[in-house]
Amino acid sequence: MSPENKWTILLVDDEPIVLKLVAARLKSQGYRVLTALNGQLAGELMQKEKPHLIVCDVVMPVMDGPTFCRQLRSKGDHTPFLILTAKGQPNDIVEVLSAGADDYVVKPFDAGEFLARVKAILRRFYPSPSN
Amino acid sequence: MNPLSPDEILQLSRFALDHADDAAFWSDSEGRLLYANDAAGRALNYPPEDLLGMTLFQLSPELTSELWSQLWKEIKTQNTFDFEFTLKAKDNHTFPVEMTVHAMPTAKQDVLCVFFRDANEKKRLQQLKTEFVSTVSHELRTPMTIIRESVSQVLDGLLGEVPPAQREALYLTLSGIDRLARIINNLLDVSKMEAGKSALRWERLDLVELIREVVETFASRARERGLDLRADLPANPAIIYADYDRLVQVFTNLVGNALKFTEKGKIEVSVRDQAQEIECAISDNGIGIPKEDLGRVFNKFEQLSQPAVTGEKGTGLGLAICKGIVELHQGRIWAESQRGRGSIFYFTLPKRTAQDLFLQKMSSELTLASTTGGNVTAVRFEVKITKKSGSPHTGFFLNGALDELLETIKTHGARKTDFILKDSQAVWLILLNMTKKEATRIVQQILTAYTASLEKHDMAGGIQATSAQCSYPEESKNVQDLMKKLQPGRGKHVS
Repeated sequence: MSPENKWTILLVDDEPIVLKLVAARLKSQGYRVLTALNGQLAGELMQKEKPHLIVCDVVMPVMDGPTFCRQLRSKGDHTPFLILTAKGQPNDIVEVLSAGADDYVVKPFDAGEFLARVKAILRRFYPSPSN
Repeated sequence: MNPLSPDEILQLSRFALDHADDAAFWSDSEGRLLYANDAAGRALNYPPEDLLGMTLFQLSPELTSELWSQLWKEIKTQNTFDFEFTLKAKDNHTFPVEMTVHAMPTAKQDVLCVFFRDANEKKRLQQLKTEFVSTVSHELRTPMTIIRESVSQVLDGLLGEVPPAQREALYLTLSGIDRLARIINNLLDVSKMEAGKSALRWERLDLVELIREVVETFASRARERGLDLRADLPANPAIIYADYDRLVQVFTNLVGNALKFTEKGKIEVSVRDQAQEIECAISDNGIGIPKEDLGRVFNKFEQLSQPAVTGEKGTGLGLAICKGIVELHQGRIWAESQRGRGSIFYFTLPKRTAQDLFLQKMSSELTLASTTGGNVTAVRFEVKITKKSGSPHTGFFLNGALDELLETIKTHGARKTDFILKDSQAVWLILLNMTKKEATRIVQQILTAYTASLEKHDMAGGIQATSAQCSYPEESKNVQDLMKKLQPGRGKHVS
């Protein structure tokens, strides 16, 4: 197991098993992980917590990923946003990126690629000598 | 059994045609209806007897005497002929049909026997299929994510030590899941193409350069397998209008296949620049395709009877996708092969001007707009170098100025669904679903932004940008008229 690192990631997905699995993967790298089942619950959590990165599904009941992202951006919140999507067609990707997301990974994903993207996005947004 | 008399055969034939599900009618050489069956009456909303004596010109908004004589000529030479057409029902609503025409010479005159089917119905079914495929593939991805991630966590040792024998099984599971994901992606691709829902992003490109890049990506794979992969390319660029990413997909599939089915020897990609079209060929001296399979290789899920020499498993959709892409470009694709000797896959891409492509796109947008009541504006932006510098780089300079213009159009007001095409002198644009007034405002906005960006790049001095535009339905309802107004030199000068 990797030692604990300083990053907190908010993970949003309506499928509890996916949530559990992706959380386990992130925790194995030492990330602190918060979870929420849809965009609205994630929004509520954001009032108390300040995650460094949001990893978010697209299609969810109550509030979907793009809506959640647009809502954050309209409030001036620019927390890095990584979309984890089951819809990998070019027009779907254009839609999530134009909602304000910073990057995307298509499901089913390769764990190595997913973790590399998480790392890259953190490095890009929080430049530091240790990163 | 009592044999039927000629009279009875006649009556029964007429009875069968009256009650057939497909719409049918007979017409004389002037387009006058001599007969219409019940289905034709239903489709056109007339009692069949009212249709007698009416002419096709009354029943079709797009039929002109010019088109009629053209069709007639075609029918006379081919005897049978399929085409897409628009018909107008009694209540004036128009609908697209697929028509089949057979010419039947009788003693007195030539009679056309015509069958037609509502094309909207077919489109609706295609769309339903695409939606179904898209929903299913989306629903499959969640369980696939769960399986893939669970297996890979076990494999990565997150859940404890894994004995080597079990690792092997887990690896196989992962590669199976990845193959399933590829099949789903390809299936989505094919079904979109079949429904006519995947639009090409046309651009001006050099095919020679594109092939060079694709071949480069396969170079190391070919070297590892000891295969001689080469490209036999013309010295000059082969400029065509096509969708870059889609063509890369075609070459990647065909070269990838050649590598998969070739044990040793060479694979060659070649290009022949002909008068009307460009012909590409990908040849190998691999295991070849048996004659009986040759006709089926472009079908979906039709894998060749022999396994790949590399043991790789495909998705069974690669060649169907190639065919779909080539046909979207209005080209042809075919294969020749000799068992044990190798295969050659050919495809052609028609050489067309930006103006031809634009005209075609405008025609289909106008047809759509006339049935749905939409607006279409055609715009042609032209850039001229006004300062005669005598420099040999004027062409290069002009191209840079056009690229800048293209970028400006993309970022200022042109929505992503609209058609944009750059040729060597102009940029063509179609603006949809906005009135003439709105379109004019967007064009002004683009030209203003362009002038600003030229100034920023210190290019403003010697460049003059003009625009010409024409709107449907405000200015004209005819595509030829609209195009005439876009001719070079008709634009308003702006900068």
